[in-house]
Amino acid sequence: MEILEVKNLTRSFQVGHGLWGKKTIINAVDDISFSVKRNEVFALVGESGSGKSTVARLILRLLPPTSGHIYFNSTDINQLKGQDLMSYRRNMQVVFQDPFASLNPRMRIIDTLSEPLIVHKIGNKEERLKIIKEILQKVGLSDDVLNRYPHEFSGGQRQRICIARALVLSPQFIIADEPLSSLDVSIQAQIINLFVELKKELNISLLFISHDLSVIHYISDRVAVMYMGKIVEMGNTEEVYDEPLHPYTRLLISSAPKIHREAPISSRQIKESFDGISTDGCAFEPRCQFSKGTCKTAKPQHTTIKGRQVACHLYT
Amino acid sequence: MSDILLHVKNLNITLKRDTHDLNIVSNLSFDISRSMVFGLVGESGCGKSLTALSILRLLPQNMTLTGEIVFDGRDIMGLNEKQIRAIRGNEIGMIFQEPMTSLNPVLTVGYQIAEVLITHKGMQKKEALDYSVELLKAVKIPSPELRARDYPHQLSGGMRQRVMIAIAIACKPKLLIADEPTTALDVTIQAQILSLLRELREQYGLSMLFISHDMAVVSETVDYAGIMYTGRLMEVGNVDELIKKPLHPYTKGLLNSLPVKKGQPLVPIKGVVPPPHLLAKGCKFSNRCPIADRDCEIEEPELEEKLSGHFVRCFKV
Repeated sequence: MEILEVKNLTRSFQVGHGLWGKKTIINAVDDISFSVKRNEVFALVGESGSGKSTVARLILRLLPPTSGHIYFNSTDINQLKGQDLMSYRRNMQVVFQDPFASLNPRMRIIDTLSEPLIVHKIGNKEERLKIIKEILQKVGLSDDVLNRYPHEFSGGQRQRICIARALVLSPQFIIADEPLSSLDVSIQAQIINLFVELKKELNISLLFISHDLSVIHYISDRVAVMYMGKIVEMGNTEEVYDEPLHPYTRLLISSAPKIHREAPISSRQIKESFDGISTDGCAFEPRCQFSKGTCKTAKPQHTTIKGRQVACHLYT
Repeated sequence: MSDILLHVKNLNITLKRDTHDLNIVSNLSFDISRSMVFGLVGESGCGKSLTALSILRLLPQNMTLTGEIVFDGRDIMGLNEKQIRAIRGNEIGMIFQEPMTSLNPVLTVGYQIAEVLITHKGMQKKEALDYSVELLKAVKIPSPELRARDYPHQLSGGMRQRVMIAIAIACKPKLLIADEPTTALDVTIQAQILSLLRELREQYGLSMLFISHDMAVVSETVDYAGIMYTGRLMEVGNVDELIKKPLHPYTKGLLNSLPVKKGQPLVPIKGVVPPPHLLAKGCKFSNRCPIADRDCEIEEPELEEKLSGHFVRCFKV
């Protein structure tokens, strides 16, 4: 059962202006479609600038799409108004990358955690406190944090507070946008464990965005690999990692440093990157070692191979 | 010619405070022999970067440095400002994490490479600029003649880091210090930069001090590694041995924190790194250690050779 469905989503931005300069339109998110099932961890992986965070902002309705639709429980979120929109916001929560920037330094933790409940008119003061205490226990913090301010906490604790804030409204869906990248390794492991436990306990769906391939491999059920605004490969995480089909996925997975690798990959496997982007053909063509004639002239369409979606001319 | 290129012994870095001084790096000792790559690994705030800066005597003014640093037979601590400047960028090259902030935005990258050659090698400007194109070629920048005339903002992150490497190797240094050189880069670009460093190492016989927080990157790049925690080396040894048979509970904790296999639960290190004024009295790791007992809380263990070439700071090993 799909909880979130994204269909042909595109978001473009205008870049490059100036007095007489030509206006260029780039598609940060370019015609992507995917769906997330209930109680599933769906991951978006890609390098910086691939459009992962723009997808998150579109789903959160912080940005309107240029075209395409996002359905949450079968309703188009961009048509929502009033009470329905409130209920959507309640069910769709987010955890951001930098827990230092995403907590208000002048609000005590109790105020930060009560605010969503007050906005959504849930409970009276005692009931709210009860909910907050329960959530704090779930994220592994004690009650004595309530009257303290964000600066008194370490990065890992702050990220727990951010997760608690996302959980107080008992949402059906959480978007976690690079929730680990500002944390040290030993703290990362604590937060990964927390996400795994929460998923088991609370029956929520998770859209997990990261550039860290080993974390994605560990945490997600299905994965979509993004490159320049497009999904180039999508499928079951285990299968994608075992046998990546798209040349970009192969490059990405072989580039990730591994702790128990026999020999480091040689530089010859990596083709140099160029600044040029071919507008007609495949966006990955300039870096692809399998590039052929059609790659320069036609955009590859999604095809289904081995239960996976791949956009590459090698498979058409 | 001694086999040891850099000898660091009992390095102490102290931060001066109004009330009390804070010991940031404590009794750090390590050697880097010729054409060896030594890695320093640790979480943020453990003192890795300050150690690197202290080798070039670039510590901020509010910190004091004591100990022994001998580079290529010369005592770095005893040099005056003019003498140390002749070493910086010349015999010891350095690459920093963020290539954008370390390059000058108003000078072309070609000139920034040439500048080093003019300063240290006494080259004429024309000659130095020509040579900078050669260096850009050596770090595999496509169409180097054109790129030499570019400004840093015209280049991508990976390209800028290549320029930084070109500056660092311009004078054929004996030692290259790389402080988190790939942390700001995407994985595919990281792989390119790491393989470039490996090639340069083979080509020039470079010795390297490689600093990183990423165990996986370190395992692919260095020969020997030291694991740092709260300004101390906890374990030093051959990198393969450290990863296959870690002895110190902190090293084990770091490795167990890495997601390797799905379904295999992660075992994080409990708690957080304490701030430097709240360190435990005995072993600095004792308050987070799963096997610590009372002895560990009273006395701090020494870094001892437990296996041949494998040093550990722990009573329990």
